[in-house]
Amino acid sequence: MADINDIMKKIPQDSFEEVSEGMVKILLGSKNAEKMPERLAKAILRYFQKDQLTLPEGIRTLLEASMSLEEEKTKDLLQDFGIKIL
Amino acid sequence: MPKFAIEFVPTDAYWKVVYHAVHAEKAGYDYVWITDHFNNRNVYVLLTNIAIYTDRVRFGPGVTSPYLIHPVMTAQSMASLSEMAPRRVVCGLGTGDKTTLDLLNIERVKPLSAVRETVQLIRELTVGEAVKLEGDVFNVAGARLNFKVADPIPIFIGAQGPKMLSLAAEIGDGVLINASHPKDFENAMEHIREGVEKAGKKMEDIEVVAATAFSASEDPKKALKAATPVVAFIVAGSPESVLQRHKIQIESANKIREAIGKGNWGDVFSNVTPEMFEAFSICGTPDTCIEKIDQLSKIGVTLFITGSPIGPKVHDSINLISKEIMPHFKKA
Repeated sequence: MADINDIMKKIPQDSFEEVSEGMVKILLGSKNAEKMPERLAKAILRYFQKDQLTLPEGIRTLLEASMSLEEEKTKDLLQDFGIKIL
Repeated sequence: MPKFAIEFVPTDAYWKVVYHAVHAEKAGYDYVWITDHFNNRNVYVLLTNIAIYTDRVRFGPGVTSPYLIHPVMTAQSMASLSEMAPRRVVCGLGTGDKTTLDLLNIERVKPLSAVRETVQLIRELTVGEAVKLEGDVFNVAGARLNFKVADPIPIFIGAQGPKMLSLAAEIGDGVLINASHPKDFENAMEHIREGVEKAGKKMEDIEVVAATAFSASEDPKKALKAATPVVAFIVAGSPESVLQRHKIQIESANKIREAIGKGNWGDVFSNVTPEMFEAFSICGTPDTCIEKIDQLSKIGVTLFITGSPIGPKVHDSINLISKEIMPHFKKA
């Protein structure tokens, strides 16, 4: 799997909100939702409660979860924002 | 101004249901209800997480059956939740879904007594009283919780028939009616008023709740498609009197029942007619939904539950309801 730190560096700050929303939709629609790691599920809920899913910590958590559950769809989403993941 | 609630059936991974509940709170909903069926995720596990990850919204089981969960256990669960989230917990109570109870060979014996006794047990136990009850359904020799809640927990009672509607209004803080059409509420209001009068209460003292099959989308076809399975199951489970009230042919309902029995989903869905959507759902664009909510509100409904399916995509529909539907009523 691609390095999360590398991807984070490529996401422009002004796209955080849209990228966050896109990843949330991928996760909520995922057929692998039951495979969500416990740590990430709790972190996503905590960040959402605090309105922090569009902040770097929230984006990183969503990215980790999204890449873990739906790698290809996440890459496609990022590509829509001009971010190419090898 | 009507209040809004959302109902989730926990068939999805727990974190998705809790995510939607947090979203609903942020979107302006007043209540989150989680359905209680033994074959889905446990309602109290979900509600505990909702208590943790939300800060304002009120929440509860919608509804728990005393035939499956003994009232002392419900009282214990409600009181424990209320300790976590004071003044935010509500209890939805009903005799239960016949189909689910049939799987366990549980009969709904003396439903009016069961509900009356359950309300008494929950109310007294949660405020720390010792309870002794020799009822028609429950026999409690002496029970007491070792802790109590600061404020009474409102109890909402699911009702359909005239006697249960009247009882729910008499002893409950809210009457939950599984219906979406004005005709059903016009019919119910007469019995609700009877119960309110019997208790010496005013109509303003109780919530009249429409638990609707709801599907909102900017695209009406998508809204209908999402609602189709839910409407099909409502039709299949409706007694003849209800079908007749909505001028739905018994043969059409039987076709759906047969197709469900055979697991032939193509036939199930193709037999759902526009009249069935009209009778058993609030479904369509925001404007259509607003019009129907408005009609129910004028009859006396004070709280709307946007129930399953909510819309083609729950996340998008919560946003749509929040931005296009709720503001209409907040302005009013």
